[in-house]
Amino acid sequence: MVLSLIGILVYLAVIISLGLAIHWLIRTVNRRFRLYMNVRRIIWLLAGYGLLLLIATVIAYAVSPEITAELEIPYAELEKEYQAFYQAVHEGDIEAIKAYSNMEKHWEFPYTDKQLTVTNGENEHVAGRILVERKQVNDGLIEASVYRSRSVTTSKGAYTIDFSDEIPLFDLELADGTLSMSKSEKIELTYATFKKEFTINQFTGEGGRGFGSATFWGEHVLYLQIPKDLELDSQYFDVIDVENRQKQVGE
Amino acid sequence: MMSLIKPSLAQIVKTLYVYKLKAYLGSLATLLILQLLAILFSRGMVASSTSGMNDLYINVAFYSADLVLVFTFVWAFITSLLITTKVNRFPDFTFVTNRLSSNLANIFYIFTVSMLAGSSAMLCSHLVKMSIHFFSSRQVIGSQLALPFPELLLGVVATSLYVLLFGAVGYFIGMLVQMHPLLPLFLGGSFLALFVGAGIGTDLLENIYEFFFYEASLLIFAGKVSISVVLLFLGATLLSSRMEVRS
Repeated sequence: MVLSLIGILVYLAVIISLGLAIHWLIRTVNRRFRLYMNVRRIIWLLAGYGLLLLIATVIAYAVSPEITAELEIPYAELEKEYQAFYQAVHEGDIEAIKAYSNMEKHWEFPYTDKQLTVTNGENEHVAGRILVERKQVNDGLIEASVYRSRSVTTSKGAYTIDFSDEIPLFDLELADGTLSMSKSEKIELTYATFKKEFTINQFTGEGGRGFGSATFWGEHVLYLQIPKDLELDSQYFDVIDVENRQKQVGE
Repeated sequence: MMSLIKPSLAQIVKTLYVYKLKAYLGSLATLLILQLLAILFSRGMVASSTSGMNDLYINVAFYSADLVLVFTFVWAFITSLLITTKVNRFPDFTFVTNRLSSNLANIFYIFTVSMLAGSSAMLCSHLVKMSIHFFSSRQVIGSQLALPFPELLLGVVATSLYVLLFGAVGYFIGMLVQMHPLLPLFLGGSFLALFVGAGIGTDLLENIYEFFFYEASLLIFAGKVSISVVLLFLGATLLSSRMEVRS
């Protein structure tokens, strides 16, 4: 009750201030126009404005189809996909992970030492999980792949966009017994979309678009295939042994 | 000088109406400036949805001509209110006129400019969106630049009706103010007392708001606006007939 009262008072204050500002503008413009503009000039000005609006409308209809058609992915489907992916990562089910994501990059590092440390190198984009699979042999080769689920932002009836490719992938570097990821950058993606005016939404029942929007952030998963007897040390990640499907939390 | 020909009411109203269209042209010029200002503000003041995870942020800004519509409503309210002031009322008496013909001409004038203002406000939608489409660094996603034509028509009708409603409210309040300068203070005071005291004002405002803004059928909405506008104009005409003749 109190909140709604404050809300309405603020609303009223804004409307009244806007009203006063417009009132001042109307009086000032009227005075100025009387001084500098005669009726004929004002009519020309208004006709010009009308023409501008009409031309804008014609151009809008002419160029409209150029805008990328929206992807149609039902919200429920996206939600299901993300839950399935999250569960697959949690359980270390590499086959399920592959089904819900793409392998974006693959590295091979020849390595014969006994121990390997993995750090995320302050990379904030990478989820805190490494899936590790021990090979049957000591072949002196570390194979690393990064799997990424798609990143989608959606708003009911307004837009759906897959922005996975906008997020840069990290790089891997192996030096002095440490496998580290390149440092992440702060990424800010900005998009624009068009909303129908409220006097239209009121009757078409579309309601406020932009409400009910959701963003599904794709997750990066590092999948390592390491020689049979290599000891792994990682204090940044939960290490999931793919073969045994047992989570071993790194110290 | 006395004239032997008694002009009909329709003739007087027509003459007055034409006179007003010319005399108040400045207010249409103000509308133009206001709408252009609102278009400019619309580029900056937008609803947006932001989402972030770790060092990643995504921001989607929603652009529309909603602000142009609001500015136009306020313009209609104030313009109609200003019509009732003495400065604008007295020149009517240079014509052979009475309260009724003066009011009728005002009503026709408000109706005409409401239709113009409503249509132009809706057409501004494309100007706002094109300014983003062509002159913004943001990538446009999803929705189409142009409104589907039937929706554009719907928007023009609904917006014009809203502008007319705000104009009628402004005209009625203007006449109320002309009755006695202290009357609006008294009404405003008692409204605020009710508002803060018992929350009745809040409910009343909410009810009025819902009555118009939550109406999902255009036909019923048009009916509601028409009845309200007729009542407001009738009220204003009755109020003005109680006023003293020009002193």
